[in-house]
Amino acid sequence: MFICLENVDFTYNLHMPFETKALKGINLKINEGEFIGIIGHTGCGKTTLIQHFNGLLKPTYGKVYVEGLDINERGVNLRLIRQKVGLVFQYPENQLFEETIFQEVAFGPKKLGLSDEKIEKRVREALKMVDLDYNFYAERSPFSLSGGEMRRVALASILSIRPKMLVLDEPTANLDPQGRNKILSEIKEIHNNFGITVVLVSHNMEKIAEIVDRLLVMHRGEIILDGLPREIFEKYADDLIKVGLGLPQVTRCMHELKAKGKEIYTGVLTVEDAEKEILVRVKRFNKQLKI
Amino acid sequence: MVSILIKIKNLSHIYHLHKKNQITALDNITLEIKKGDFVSIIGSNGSGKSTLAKHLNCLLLPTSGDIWVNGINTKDKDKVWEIRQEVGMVFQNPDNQIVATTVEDDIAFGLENIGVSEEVMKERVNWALQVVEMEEYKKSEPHLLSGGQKQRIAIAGAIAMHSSYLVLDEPTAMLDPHGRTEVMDIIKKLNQEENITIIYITHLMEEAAESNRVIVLDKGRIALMGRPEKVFTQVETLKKLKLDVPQITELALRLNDKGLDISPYTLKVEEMVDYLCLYV
Repeated sequence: MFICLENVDFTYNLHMPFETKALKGINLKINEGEFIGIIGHTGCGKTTLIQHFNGLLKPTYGKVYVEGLDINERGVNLRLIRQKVGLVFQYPENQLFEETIFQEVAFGPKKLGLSDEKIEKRVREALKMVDLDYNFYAERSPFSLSGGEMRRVALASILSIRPKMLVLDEPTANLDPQGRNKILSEIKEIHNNFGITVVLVSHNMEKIAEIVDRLLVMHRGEIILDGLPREIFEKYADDLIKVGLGLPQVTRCMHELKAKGKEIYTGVLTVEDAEKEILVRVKRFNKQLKI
Repeated sequence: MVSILIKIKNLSHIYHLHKKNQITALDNITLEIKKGDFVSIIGSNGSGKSTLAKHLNCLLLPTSGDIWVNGINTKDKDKVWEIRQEVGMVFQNPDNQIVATTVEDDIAFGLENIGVSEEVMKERVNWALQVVEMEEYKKSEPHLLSGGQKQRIAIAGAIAMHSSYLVLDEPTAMLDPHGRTEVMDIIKKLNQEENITIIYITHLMEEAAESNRVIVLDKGRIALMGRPEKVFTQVETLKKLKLDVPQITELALRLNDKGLDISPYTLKVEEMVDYLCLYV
């Protein structure tokens, strides 16, 4: 097991007038190689939760283990933990600061004390992972890039540390549809090709549900659902709507058909799924139709 | 007679003119937005959407070409405030546009600046709060509200000025699905019940599908324009422009292709359900 949270509570401004309980009794196990999505309403505790994964926040109550190590015990090397768990914040492009993209991506490996040769190797490798051509980009300023490209540079600068786990907070916010699809398919590829454990946080559930293997739904500081995306969309549609998440258009379409008494499978996530499911049903009920 | 519309003629905007990093953000745009319309503007990042929006209330002036708001040219320096009163603006991040410590003070801020009497001010603040359905939060502190509520306050602040046009630049980008619906419902209401002209910039095709007219920008030019069902059926062109098609429209197109009698111009889940009920 890679990460394990036991009965984690977190309260902001503890014992102060504005005390807010952000996490309540969280129990969570993340295995190596998993690809997890976390969805939930704004303020449900998603960001607070992931900041526990590498010790940026310490639980008010409960324990956090990374590779079996209680990371909040005295004397634990948090630097090492943060090399293992790479966190990409919201709007990571705001954190870019170096003059060239090379320097930006090299920052992490340099801090690890690697040789120049190794640093260059890591930069090449990381830029390749986010599909940016080294020769074209290395010497350019990160500030001359489009929003989507800047975000990919920010992602590369985490990948160059070679984390075992990558945690991304709203990686697609504010990108146009193509930028959104591109960064998600890159993350999926990084997961597939390098076996990195990935946790994605988002409220854009349509795309997230499509690519992750396991979905966590948070509400008011608790994990209320945990399972396969299909199962959650099939069986817990009402709960999703109740916690303010809504459903992807195609999933909603299937649920509304079912509500009208039609026999149809509602666990669809994509247009392709919906098309397939509808055609199967249409064929069954309209044998004379040639489709 | 003064024409009540926004008229844009041959508008071009170049950032860093005559410098090395000169960028043409808008390239010869001609467009009319009539009072009462609900127009959405879509386009990939960097296509010129926000630059266009900022021209509508003199935050930016054209490098060449002209814009008239109700017949007033935005280049007319003496009329800037008149135009800004007429064209309200709401941005992406609600936290950046809230200035006061209570909701009612925040909405009154613009009115104070134009010297409205206290009586009228109260009346307009109450009206605006009622329109955005936030009356009960009148005395609340804005920072304690949810994102969707904050955006509704920002909208109330704009309409309290009695603007006839409301420009919204990705107002739901930072909101969760619930907040999005909240804001979208209010915008539709403003358009239909208060007859406020809406110019709505978005990355979400489902939202653009709610408008009367969709304008697709690409590299500073108008690539497509028309009713949403016409624009969203041009799947190939949209994908080339780095945009998406609403899921339901894509599904309708695919099923239509397979020979099912489903209009390819389907934009809403409800329409799709009605069609499918005939088959399954």
